[in-house]
Amino acid sequence: MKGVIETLVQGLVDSPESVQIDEVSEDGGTVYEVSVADGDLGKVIGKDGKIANALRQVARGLAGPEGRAHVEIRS
Amino acid sequence: MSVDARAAEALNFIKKMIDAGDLGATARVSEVVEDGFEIEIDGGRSELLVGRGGNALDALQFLVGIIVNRKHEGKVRITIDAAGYRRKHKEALEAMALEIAGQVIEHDQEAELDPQPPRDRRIIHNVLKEHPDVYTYSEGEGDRRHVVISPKKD
Repeated sequence: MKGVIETLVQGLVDSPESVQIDEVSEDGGTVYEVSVADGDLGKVIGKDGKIANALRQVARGLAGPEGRAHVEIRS
Repeated sequence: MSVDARAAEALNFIKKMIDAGDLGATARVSEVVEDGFEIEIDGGRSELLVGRGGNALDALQFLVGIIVNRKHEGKVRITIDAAGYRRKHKEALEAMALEIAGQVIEHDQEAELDPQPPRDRRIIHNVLKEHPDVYTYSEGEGDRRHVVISPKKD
């Protein structure tokens, strides 16, 4: 599942080689911690956080109806 | 860059994403029109891309749109379906529209539908566009905008 988030983040940024996703299990849910190059931060957050929120929606879907997932953008 | 070429690029990206996530699904370009295209993802765990009420699917469509359009001049409209979600939703809306059209004719009285997003309203307008006995229009603003189905006057 991490691969889906990773592919999307790599597609959004100018430096895909700098993308790192850490998958952390927390309280029965999954947290995807996303790191990108400094210059790419805006590209994964978006205006009013729109892109980051879309990544969260996708992650929630991937967790299934019973699961929980969250995406955190590391700055 | 042609719409076809961009559709091929989007398909490649989606296939890469399916493989990376080990979703075991297949993807194909199901429709290409002048200003956009649709990609269908099916099988495997494709239903995980849909989310509650299509939330995850709308988000995925938004993201793939950015990813595919960012490298090129001009935007194309990208639609993504997964596990037949949009197709079934469309079929349900069409069936409802036709049923209500029947009632409108029977009672010779127009019917106001519940507010809907533009995409859903377009489906209703389209399915009744050629109908001999009713016509449709939208009214209301913003979140209140809805379709009205009205009997044609002789």
